[in-house]
Amino acid sequence: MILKNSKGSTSIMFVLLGTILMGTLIAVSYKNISMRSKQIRKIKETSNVQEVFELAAKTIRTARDTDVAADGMNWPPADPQCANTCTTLSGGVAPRMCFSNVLSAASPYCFYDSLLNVKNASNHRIFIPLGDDFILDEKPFVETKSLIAALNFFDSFIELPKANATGSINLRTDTAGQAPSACNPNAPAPGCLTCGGPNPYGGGPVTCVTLSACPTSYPGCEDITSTTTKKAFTQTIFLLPGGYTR
Amino acid sequence: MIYKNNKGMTLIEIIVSLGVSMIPLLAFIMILNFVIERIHVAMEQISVETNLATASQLIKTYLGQAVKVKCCRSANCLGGGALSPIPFPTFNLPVTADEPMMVAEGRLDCRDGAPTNWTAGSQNALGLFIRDAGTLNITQQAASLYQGTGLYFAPANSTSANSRIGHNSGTLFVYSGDPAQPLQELAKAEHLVDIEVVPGTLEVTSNDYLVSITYKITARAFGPNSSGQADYQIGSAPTANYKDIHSNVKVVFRNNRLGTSATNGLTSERPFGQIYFFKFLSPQASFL
Repeated sequence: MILKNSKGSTSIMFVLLGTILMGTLIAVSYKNISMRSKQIRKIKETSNVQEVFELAAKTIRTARDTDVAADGMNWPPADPQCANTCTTLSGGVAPRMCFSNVLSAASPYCFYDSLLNVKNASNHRIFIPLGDDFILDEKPFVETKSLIAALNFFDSFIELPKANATGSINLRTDTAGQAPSACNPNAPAPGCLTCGGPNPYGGGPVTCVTLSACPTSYPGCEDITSTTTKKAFTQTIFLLPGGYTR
Repeated sequence: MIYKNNKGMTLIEIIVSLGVSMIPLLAFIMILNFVIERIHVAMEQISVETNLATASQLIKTYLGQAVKVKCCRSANCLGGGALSPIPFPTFNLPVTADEPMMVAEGRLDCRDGAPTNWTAGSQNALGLFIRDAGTLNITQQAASLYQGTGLYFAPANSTSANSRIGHNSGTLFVYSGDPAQPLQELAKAEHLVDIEVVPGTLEVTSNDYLVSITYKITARAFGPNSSGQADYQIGSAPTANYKDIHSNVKVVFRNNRLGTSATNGLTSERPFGQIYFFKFLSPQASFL
């Protein structure tokens, strides 16, 4: 009797169970694959950020006679060379620095601070808030192409994470130093390097620049107006003092 | 009488109904198998890609912080060939007096295709050097911290009955720690087949200090219907379906002194000029 009344129900039951099983399997697997894909993306992004930092360091190194806002805030600088072409963006974001004689004076690279929503900017740039005086190299500029490549890379980097990307790359000076236990900041031994400490080789204090990047694919980096670097990539570089000018 | 009120099924009816119900069931099982197979393949491939990206990142990150490393072109320049079966290498490179900080001169096997004489199943040294692991502290200040670092590659030496989980695959190891102590394992990447120097990519100074080098890293993923054994050995042709994935990673020794300026130590000329990098900090990557 049971068999008679359940005719056909067995196969339907199998199909239903199988559907549930397959659905569960696909859902779990999708989650796993999605998680691993994000992991790959972050590893690749880490590599990208490292390259950005290297290019940024090189850019800082090779730029010269740069106009910097006189007190790090007010634009134009006291001795403007490219101030007229680096204008305040919509939203009232003023430039902080420009490379005037690296490229032609008519089309300098303008650096703004990070407090800008990139989505509203007509042109994506590298954003550099300068908290203190910025020291740059006086060496003759010989790597214009590198600078252009670097800046182009920054542009594409900012746009990479997603279509309506927001993101920033910040540079800020960090001149306050602290010596490691093995190094005395007042009488540094050769080989001891501390940001802001005396240069054991002479020529003024050791100047450091801290670079940070916060791609929007990382949690906590969605809001580029945030100045915290807790969840951002960071790296400190030191620029050898001596032979530098402002 | 017995059969008149019988509302059950005959044997023929049962056989026919089971046969009919088996048709959609078998079809469904086939679809399920196909889906499971594809999911496994996708997960395997993603796992391999993760390991490949990790290996690239490990090499780039740690070699990028080397402060005094030279190219070496002989089999024994890294202290005597393969490390087997030791768990931890020792940093026994000589300290030279030409650097104010007395940093031992690191070495990297930079021969084309190097290391050319792999010892399968053992850890073969790619490089042994001092790197700067100094970084920002909680007060956002930086100071140098030198650590001994070793990169080792252990090629696969056997096949595995389990074809999909990277058993017996080639593995890249990173060791690090106080140069005076045996270095500790810090990170590793599996699923690899080979790591080799791409011919013609080596860039060194006249004194053999390294400027840049490009590695070709090969990882292997096994595909569907892998009835044969997994085989990650170099030059092997696995019986199972497989796919090799390659990645070329260029390493710039950005902190390496080049020995071309009048001064040594921290003021030495480096690949990006007189710029020196402290440790790179990533928000969510513990291996950095």
